[in-house]
Amino acid sequence: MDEPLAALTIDGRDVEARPGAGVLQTALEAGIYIPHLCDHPDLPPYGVCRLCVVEIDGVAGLPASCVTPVVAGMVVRTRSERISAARRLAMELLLAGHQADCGTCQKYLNCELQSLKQYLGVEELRIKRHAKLLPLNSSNPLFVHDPNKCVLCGRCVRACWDLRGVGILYYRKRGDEFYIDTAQGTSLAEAGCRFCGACVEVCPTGAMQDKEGLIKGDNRKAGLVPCKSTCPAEIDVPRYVRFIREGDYPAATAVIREKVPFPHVLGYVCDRPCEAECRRREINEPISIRELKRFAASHDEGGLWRERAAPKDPTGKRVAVIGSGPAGLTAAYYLRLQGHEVTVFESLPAAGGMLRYGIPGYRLPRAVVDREIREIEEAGVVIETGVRIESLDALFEQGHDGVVVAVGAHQGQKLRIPGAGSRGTLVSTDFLREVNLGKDAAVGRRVVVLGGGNVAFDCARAARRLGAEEVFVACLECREEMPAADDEIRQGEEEGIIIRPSRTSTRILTEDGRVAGVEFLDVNACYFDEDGFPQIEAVEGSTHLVEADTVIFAIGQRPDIPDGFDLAKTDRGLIELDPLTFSSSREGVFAAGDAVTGTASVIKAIASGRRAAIAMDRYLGGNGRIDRKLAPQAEPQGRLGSESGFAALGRAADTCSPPEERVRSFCEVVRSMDQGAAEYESSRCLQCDLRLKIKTVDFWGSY
Amino acid sequence: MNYEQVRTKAESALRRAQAPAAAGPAPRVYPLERRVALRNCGRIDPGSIDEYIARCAGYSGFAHALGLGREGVVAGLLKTGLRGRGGAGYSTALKWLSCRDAQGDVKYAVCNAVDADPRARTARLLLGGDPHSVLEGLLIGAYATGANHCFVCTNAAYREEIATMSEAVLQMRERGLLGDDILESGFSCDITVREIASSPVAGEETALIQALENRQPLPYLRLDYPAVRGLHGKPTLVNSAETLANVSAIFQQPSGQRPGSVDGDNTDGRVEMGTKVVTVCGDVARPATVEVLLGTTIGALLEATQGPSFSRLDIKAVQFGGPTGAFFAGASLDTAIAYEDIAAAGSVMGSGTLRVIGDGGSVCAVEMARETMFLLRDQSCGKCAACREGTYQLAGMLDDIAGFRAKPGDLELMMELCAAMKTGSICGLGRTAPLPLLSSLKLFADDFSAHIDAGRCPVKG
Repeated sequence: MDEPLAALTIDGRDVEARPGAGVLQTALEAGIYIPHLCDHPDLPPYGVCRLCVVEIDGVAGLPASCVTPVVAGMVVRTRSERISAARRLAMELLLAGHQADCGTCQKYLNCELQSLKQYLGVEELRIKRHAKLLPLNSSNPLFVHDPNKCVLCGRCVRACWDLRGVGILYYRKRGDEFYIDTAQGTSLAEAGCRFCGACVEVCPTGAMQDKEGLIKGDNRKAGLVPCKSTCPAEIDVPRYVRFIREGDYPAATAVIREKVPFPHVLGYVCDRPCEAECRRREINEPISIRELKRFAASHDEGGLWRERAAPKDPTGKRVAVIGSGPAGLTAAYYLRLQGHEVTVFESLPAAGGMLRYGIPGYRLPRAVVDREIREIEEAGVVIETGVRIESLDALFEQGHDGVVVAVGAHQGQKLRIPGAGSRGTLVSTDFLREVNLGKDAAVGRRVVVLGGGNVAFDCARAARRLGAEEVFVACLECREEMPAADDEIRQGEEEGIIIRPSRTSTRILTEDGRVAGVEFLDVNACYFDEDGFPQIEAVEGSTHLVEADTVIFAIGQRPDIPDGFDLAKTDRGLIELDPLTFSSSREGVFAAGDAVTGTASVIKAIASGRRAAIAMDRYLGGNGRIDRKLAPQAEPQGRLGSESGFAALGRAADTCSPPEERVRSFCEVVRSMDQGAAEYESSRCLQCDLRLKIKTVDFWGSY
Repeated sequence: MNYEQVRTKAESALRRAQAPAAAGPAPRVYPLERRVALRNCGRIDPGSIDEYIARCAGYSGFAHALGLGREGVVAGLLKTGLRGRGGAGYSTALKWLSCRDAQGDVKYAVCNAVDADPRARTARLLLGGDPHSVLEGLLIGAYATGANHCFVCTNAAYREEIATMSEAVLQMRERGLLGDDILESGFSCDITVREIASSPVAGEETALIQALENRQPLPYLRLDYPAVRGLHGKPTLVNSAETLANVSAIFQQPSGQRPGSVDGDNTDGRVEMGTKVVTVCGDVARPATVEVLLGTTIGALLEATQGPSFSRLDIKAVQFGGPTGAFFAGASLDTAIAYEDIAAAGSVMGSGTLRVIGDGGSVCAVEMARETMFLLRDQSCGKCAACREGTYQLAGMLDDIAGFRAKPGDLELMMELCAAMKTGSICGLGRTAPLPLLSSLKLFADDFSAHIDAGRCPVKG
């Protein structure tokens, strides 16, 4: 039972409050503004700034309302000449040691102190200002501390001790001036900082700030949790990493599944844009988010997520999805959950698209793909394989109310150079499809792969596994700018792939119509001109030859969209979508995946599938709300506690099978983390999302 | 069991102590000295609990308290009117009462033995000279409030005293005075000695609680008193070593009679007639720490300690109550050292130090106030704006007056700052920091006006 409320009067108004609550908090909740600085709704009351003084009948002097508990029958006045004078003097005391120039401060117009100064009308000080002349500390990662702007309100200290339980900030003194710092003036890392940012979040001045440029984008909240906001599918990364740390793997998987139907697949092959933005990168190395995802998905005992993942009542609408890659299946899955009847048409013998026919098995075991597709089928999605759709009209005639085109970009290309048509030249997509179909893909002993992306490495590494003795990857880009993922390049090199960056192929030499080698020129620079065409600066006289019996072109892919679809395309041959409705040029036809974006990533394809599902659902009369709460809605524990050495915890390294073993089969290369590593790695997370739970203080203008 | 049974049982458990034959030397006695808190200091071996029990009625006060029961202890203490000797002078019994009545599965009792004022040495004398008088008082307080864990917080610099105190706690444990079911009373308690890095604010009870929580020892202002919500959020009784030594003395007298009240001299028939330990220091020939009856005047104390050659004409002023105490001079030297009188004279009991300043002719009051304010500025912990910035600004303004740079309106602004500090600081140090300045302005207005109006120092010319 709640305690009975106590009635009190504030400025003549009757107000009710919990006995023992602070007078300030009570007044603010009643919409009566009392200026305050040291007080913060998430921190224990402090009573050090004296801006919140009030008059209370029967109480001597001017008590600070933040530290005065409500008593029934209390009569409070928040305005009088005496109160104003006391507040103005209190403001003068705060400003005396505060840097005078507001104009140069990043916090300008977003500063609580500045706002209060204006509210109280304090411009000139009667007491002396003193410049503290303390050094600005920008030596720590993520945060900048300028003690010259600090007014010693103690919010950061309380955030560090009382809110987070970390306890590394102290009042310190140099000469005659006070400031806040670690106990011994050491770096935050050495002191045991958890880099949660609570101190910065609660600072009412510009004394503690985020380093400039670190919070990207206009949306500050999103920028503070970059892993989540960078994820194309907006997976709530900190939340599932937290569940992993707590040992609740089914809940972690459920969090991932709130946004994507392929957690385990992504755990293998996501290109992890989140890790590139992980704030921990500023301290040492980003969290190994992809591997944690893989760990969670492979420890999803019981499949908690299924409890709330039943399809809605049937809507009576039918949707056809063309293509069973990650985009198509994602769209199909979410449309099915919205209650529509969904059939997926796949021209190849099995579902999965590039997951099955592009990415080699050593990167993504087929059992993982099979399992996650089976879950989609179990939700009621019908997949018809070996069916190539050539006309959308036919689908509508069959009674489909809408069509999602997600045919991918399966058409590889060759360079237009002499010899490109000779025997022994292959195209990446065809080659990989043959390999993945288990057909006898013919590679010779010396293979040159032209291209520097992930697909080039897929081709090169597959060729090694098929018995090629020497495999070269040659690309225009210099080594540092190769578009392939770092771990692909590293693992490829371990497997004996020889990288020849910064060169352009000028022709393919042939002998009796068969490939004999590739002629290259060194490249000084390559870039895209204003019109988006690649420009190459070759080094004159640098012609040289690489002998080869097989050449694989891995220089990009295009969608193969049948003319019978009758869809408008961009000049790059991609399906044109309305940027607002995501609709194609034909009513009832939406599109997703590489066919829309050009060759991208699995996570982008999934995100695109989600968008198509939302758009289609709305088109079919639904509300487009495909997100479901699958995981427990537990409030995170805000107390982090202290942990010495936290900042130095290095990223858990991937463990790979030995290269000599790898090249003998298509077995998976990177081994899954064990539980200890998952606990360790998840405990490295800074939990940036906790900062969003801290309340913001309303300025007086909002009362 | 009734009172007699409990007490007899407890006392028989104690009687096993063997009294040593030799008596200690009699301590030096000043005229006016009345020892209560310091009653055993110098008379007994502080390392022997047996001597304390056998020769000083040791722990009979605790046995008495066990007989009285929780209600009876607080009621008895209330009758004596004992006030906290730590400086604020709040009723000890009322503090115990609010802690006893506070809700809490766990409660703590803390002895403040830090001597935050470096000139004071009361805690040091007690810890090193008679630790058991303090420990017995602490145990009685713990029993009365229901605290099962106690801390003795001592100044980390007191190495020898810490050793003596730690040994005393060990002896208590050996004698069954700590641990489970003490003297078969059903009451369980333990005591931990904690070293506190000395700082001017470490004596504040809230700062002490922060130190015990391994936080920076700074005072705080919260919605509740520590007695209700203190250490780890639990009800926490904090008393000074001197208060607790008084407590044990009170309960060692079975009647509950207030020690000292039998002596009639110098008390003017006041209700409040305990004693206070005062340390006389500064520009004196004979620094001394003396326990006198409350009601003894500052002047009388000076005469008693400095002997017949002492003359009031030789001094400029006396600062009473520690670094934030007010100045006394001339007629105000007849102010009685008693809570009401000191308060009426605009000062505080504080640490009970009595600092004598200079000879009358060579010290300027402006310089005296300036030096004192700079010291306070350096002692401010920096947490609250009123004290941090108030002492900073006042020190600067006094510097301006001393250097004949004062501006019109400075005095008014100083008054405003003093008022803001008195009400707006979060601890006693800040609230009383204006006292030396305000008292010197009152006592030596001429010195100030000479500086401000005439641009001349009355001493230096």
